[in-house]
Amino acid sequence: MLSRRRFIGSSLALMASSVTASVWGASADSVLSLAHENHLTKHKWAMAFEGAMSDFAPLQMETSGFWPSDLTGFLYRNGPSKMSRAGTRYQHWFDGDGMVQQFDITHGKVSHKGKFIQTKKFKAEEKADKFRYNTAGTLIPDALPIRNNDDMNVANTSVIPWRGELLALWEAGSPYRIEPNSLDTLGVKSFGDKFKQLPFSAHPLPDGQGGMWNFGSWFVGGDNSLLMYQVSKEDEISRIEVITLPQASYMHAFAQSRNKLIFYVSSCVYEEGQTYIDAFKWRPELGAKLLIIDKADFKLQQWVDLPAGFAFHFGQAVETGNQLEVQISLYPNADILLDGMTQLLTGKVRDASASAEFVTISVELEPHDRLVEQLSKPLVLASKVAKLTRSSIEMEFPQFDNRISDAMSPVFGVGARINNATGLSDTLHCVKIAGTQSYYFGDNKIIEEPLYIPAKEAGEGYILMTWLDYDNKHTGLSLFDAADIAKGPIAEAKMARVLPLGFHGCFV
Amino acid sequence: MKNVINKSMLTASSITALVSLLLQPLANADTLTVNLDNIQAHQGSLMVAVYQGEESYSANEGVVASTKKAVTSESHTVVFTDLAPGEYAIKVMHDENDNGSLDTNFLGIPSEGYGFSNNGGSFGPASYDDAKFTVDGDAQLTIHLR
Repeated sequence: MLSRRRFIGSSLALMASSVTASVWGASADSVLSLAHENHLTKHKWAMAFEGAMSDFAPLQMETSGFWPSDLTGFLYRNGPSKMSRAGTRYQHWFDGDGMVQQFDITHGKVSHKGKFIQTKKFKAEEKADKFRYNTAGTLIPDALPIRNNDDMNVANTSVIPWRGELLALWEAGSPYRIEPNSLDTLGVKSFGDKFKQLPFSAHPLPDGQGGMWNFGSWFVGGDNSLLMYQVSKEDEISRIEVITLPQASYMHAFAQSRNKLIFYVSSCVYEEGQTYIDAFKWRPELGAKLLIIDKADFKLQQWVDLPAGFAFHFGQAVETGNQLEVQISLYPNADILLDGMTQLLTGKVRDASASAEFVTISVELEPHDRLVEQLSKPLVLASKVAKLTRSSIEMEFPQFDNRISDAMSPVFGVGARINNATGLSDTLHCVKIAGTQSYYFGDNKIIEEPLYIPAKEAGEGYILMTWLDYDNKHTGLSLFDAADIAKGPIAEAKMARVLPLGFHGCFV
Repeated sequence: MKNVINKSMLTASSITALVSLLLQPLANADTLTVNLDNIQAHQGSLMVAVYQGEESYSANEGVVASTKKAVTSESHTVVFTDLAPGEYAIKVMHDENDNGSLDTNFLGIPSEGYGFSNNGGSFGPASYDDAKFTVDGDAQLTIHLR
C-alpha cells in the first residue's frame, strides 16, 4: 500500500541527514543551543548579532547631505534576525530567521520598516514560543523531525525582485515570496511540483533574457551534486543539469562572463557532523577547483585545479578572447564558516578568522571542440593552469555594475582595518585598474554590503549601504558617488534602531 | 498410581492445550491504537502500514495490517484489533492529493507528510531499529507527522 519504495529509500535523504540524534559525540555541547551568554561580559558590537524581537513599524529616519532627486526607490535587505527564543540562543550566524528590512527613499526622505518572513518554521516556532527545528548550525533539544529541507528554511540570506514581487532567498531550499510594499509573506515560491524544495542559492544571476541562472548544491546520502538551473522569464525552470563534483564543497555563489558560468569548488567539504555546518570539514589536501560551465550547454564544462582555499562571493568575470579573468574574495581557509560565525554570536573575545583577499584568477578557456570531445571521457582536471593575481586588499561582499561587460568595471566591497580588533568591516573599498580608493567609516561602526546602483550610463552610479553604529545604537544609510568614494558619503540617514546585521539586498 | 499419575498428566496436558486454545484468539486480538497528529493539510488520506520484521519493513512488503483514513483534521486515530503479540514497526504517509503515492520532487524529497512509529528518523527515514516496538497486550502510540 505504500506504493513508493523511495518512501523509505535513500532518496528520502534530507539536508542534514548525516545528523542523527543518536550520534551525539563528546562535542555535542558546542552545537547545542545553550543559553550561556551571560558567563562573560559581551563586547558592545555583540548587539549586531542579538537579533530582533519583533517586526519594526515604519519610522522616519534623520537625513543629511544631498539625496539626489532621481534616487527614488526601496532598498531591501535580508539577514538572520531571530537569534533566540525562550532563553535558547543560536550558535551560528546562518541560523537566524530571515527578516526583510525596507528603506523607502523618496525625494530625500528615508523611512524604515522591517518584517520577519513568515516561513513554515517561523510560524511553528512563534506558535510554540520556542525553537522547534534544528538549524544549519544549532541542535535544538527535542527538535521536531523534518519532512524536507524547507522545514528548516529560514529564508535569511538575500532578497531580490522577481516578477513584481520579492523573493527572500536561503540556499538549501525554496525562496519565499514577499509583497514589496507591505513586506507580507505571500508563500513559498514554487517553480512546479518537480522542482519543489530544491536547493536554490541566494545568489542567482540575471540571464540577460529576463530570467536568471542559479544553482543548488546537494550533498546528502553521498551525493556530490551541483544542480544548475536556468529560470525563464516565464517563471519556469527551463533547463536543469545535475553535475557531479569531484568533492562536496561548500558553495555560496557563482559568477558569469559573457558565455560562461563560473564556480569555485572549495577545500571545505561536506562529510559528517552533528549539524549541516558541523558536517563541513577543511580538507586542504583536496585543493580547490574552478568549474567553468558553458551557458549554452551545461554539459560543456572545464575544470581547473587551484590551491586550497575557500570563498563565498565573486566579483566580475570577463572573457577576453580565449582568456577568462574572474575576481573572487578568497580565504586561505574556511575558519570564517566553521568557527568565525559562531564566535560572532558569543559577543565575547573573538579570535579573528582569516580574512578574504580580493584576487583575480586568470585561465585560458578550452575551445568549444575540446569541451565537446571531453564529454565522453572521464573528468579531466588541470588541462589548463590558472594564474592567481593577488591584490593585498582584504575585501568581502564585492558589488559592481552587473550589466555584463567585456571589461572589468570598478568593484566595491568592505573590509576591516588591520587594527580593528573585531575584524568586522569598517572600510569601503573601490578596486579599479587605476588603483584602489577607500573610505573609513570611523570607530564603532560596522558596515554592510555596498550595493551598486547604476545610473543610466554604465560606469556612473551610486553606492548605497547600511551600517550599525554600536556606540550610539544607530542604524544608518550612506550614499556615495561611485566615481569617488574617498570623498565620503554625499548623503546619509540614521535612526535610533539597532537592526541585526544582515547579508544581502537589492535596490528596486 | 502410575496410571493415575499418567492420567493426571494427560488431563493436565489437555487442560493446558484447551486453555491455550481458548486464549489464542485473545492473544491475537491485542488492540493497537495509533494516534496521528501534526497533520499539516486537512485533506487527502492517511495510509498506515504495520510491518513485522526488518526485512518486510525495509522492502515495504508483507504488510501485516494496514488502513486508509480520510483526513479531516489535524489529528486522527486508527485502531488495529487483530495483532498477535510481537515486534512491529509502522510507516505512515499522508497522500494529500489522493493520487496514491507520496509525492516527491526531482531529487526524491517528499513534499507530502509522513511519519514512523517512535517518531524516529529525525532527519530522514527511520531505521527499523528506530521504529520498532513491541505489542504485548493492548497498546497505544502517537506518531507526529512531519
